[in-house]
Amino acid sequence: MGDLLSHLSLGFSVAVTVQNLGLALVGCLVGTLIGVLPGVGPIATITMLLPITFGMPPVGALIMLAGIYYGAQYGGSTTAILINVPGEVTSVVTTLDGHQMARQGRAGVALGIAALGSFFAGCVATTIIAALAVPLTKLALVFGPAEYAALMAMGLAFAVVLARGSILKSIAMTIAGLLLSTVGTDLDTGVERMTFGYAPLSDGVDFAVIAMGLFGFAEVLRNLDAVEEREVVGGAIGRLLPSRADLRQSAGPVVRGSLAGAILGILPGNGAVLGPFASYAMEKRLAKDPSRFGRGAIEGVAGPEAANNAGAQTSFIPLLTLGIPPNAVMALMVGAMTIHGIVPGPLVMTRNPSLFWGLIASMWIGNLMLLVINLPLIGAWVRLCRVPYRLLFPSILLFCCVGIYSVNNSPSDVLFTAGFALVGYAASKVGFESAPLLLGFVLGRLLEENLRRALTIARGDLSVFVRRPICAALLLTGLLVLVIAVLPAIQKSREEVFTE
Amino acid sequence: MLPRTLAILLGVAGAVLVASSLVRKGEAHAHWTLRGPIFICLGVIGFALTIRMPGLAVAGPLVTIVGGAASPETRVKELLVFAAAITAFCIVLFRFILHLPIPVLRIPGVVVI
Repeated sequence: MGDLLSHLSLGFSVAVTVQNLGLALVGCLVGTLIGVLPGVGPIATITMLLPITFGMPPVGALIMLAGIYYGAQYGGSTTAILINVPGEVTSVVTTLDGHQMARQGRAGVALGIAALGSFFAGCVATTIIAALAVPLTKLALVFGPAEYAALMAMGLAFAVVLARGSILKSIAMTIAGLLLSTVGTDLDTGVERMTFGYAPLSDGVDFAVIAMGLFGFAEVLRNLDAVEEREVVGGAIGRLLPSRADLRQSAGPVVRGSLAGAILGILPGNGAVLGPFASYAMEKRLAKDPSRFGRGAIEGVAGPEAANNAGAQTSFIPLLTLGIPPNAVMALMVGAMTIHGIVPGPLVMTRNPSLFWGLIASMWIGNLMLLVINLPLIGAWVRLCRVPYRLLFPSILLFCCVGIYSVNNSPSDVLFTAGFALVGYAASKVGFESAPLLLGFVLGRLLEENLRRALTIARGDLSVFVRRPICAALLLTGLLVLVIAVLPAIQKSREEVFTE
Repeated sequence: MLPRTLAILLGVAGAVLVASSLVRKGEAHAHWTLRGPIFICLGVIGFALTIRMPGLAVAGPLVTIVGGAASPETRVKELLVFAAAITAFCIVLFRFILHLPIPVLRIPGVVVI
């Protein structure tokens, strides 16, 4: 406990410097902005802003990027409530009851409870990260390459199950992602793989290119197809502060949502997206009168909003303690860290304690800032929602182009990105999700490296993965998750969860 | 070894998907439009070809205007003004505030910014 306090005070001493406070504020503002604007997500934005962080100190860079990520969760709920368009995937559930509340003239209360719930969840998640960091890092140090490989395989299994649509399709996308990650020069043998003798490919495909293609440009293409129907709830937003009765009603859901989101967020394989769905389903089951849900029940806003914010923050845990990015945004964080020569993993905490604890402390500060940014300034954000998409998307295109060019100062990267955009667009048209592909790509190189190391240590004996107990348990969990998801009964309820 | 294994697995997954599509009746395909992909790709390709030389001052409006034509709701005059404004904004933000090494306007022998 004393340790925890001294760690946190170190963190706060780093996070409250003028520069870092400023960067946290910039991150939160940009995050809220892109959360409010439909069609720009945190993945594309962070890719775009990565070149800007080259010249910053590493702590500041990570603080800003983290702010963008959880800021987007706040902003996403604003559009979900006011215009029934989820700004981010994680706020899809909020549209159900949040928008209904807005139609009943309780938009302000919905926004207020979303912000307060998120703030509470942010506090819980920050504490959980601080408390879990030390024990998990110790655990990570006993992990050998075999365990790492197994953990990543489990993460991929989770990613497959958590993606929407057909399981087989998401398995195919994951494999395609793994395959893409093997393009380039083999680090151990120096052999060029799948480069077709084309020089720019010998370094492999850049992560930024794939991320921007699949989530920046392709998103624009998808949005262009959707007929624009955005009805901003007219008239007054109403009072922002929830009444005492509202607060009493939401207290339970917020606490349960925070815990559920925080636990799911820790799972490798982007468990964070599941948090809001789980929370909504849980509240509906616990409610005395479930029929209120979908008609403006405040619990249906409070719980999922808390869950998505908690999950966004605890998804830093696998990255900071194990060095395994659980989703694409965290993979970009890996990029930001390696640019500054920091290898993500269990050693970050001992070698760069000020970076580690500074980042964690800044998350709490960032949440406080978001509360302040979101509530009084809500009018300004609402006005931004009214920017027509026909002007929004050319700007997104331009910013994406500039961003992707700046990563390596290479025009050919821009062309590759356009190629991936077409692939991503066509894939989504026929029901393939891009998220598993990206995660497969992210984990591919790490997975291969650890697999190879494990096999070298075991002298090529594959049974090493079953003989080591932790390793076997991890692989079994992954397998179990896949099998359960394929079972017909579960498959049906999974569909229901996603269509609801 | 890994790439080959993966490629085979991917092929198997694809074959199973194709086979199951012949057996099971799925949903009808969503509506395809070509206008979006064509204009957006043309815009981005234009950007890639012009960003080194003559630079962002040309590449910016190019991607905004050509890409902007992707939407049927686009209004020409509005888009032209907007393209100039957003390009100016980008130049100021990325080149002069954030100091990224992006060529703004480079015509050899005439001007280099």
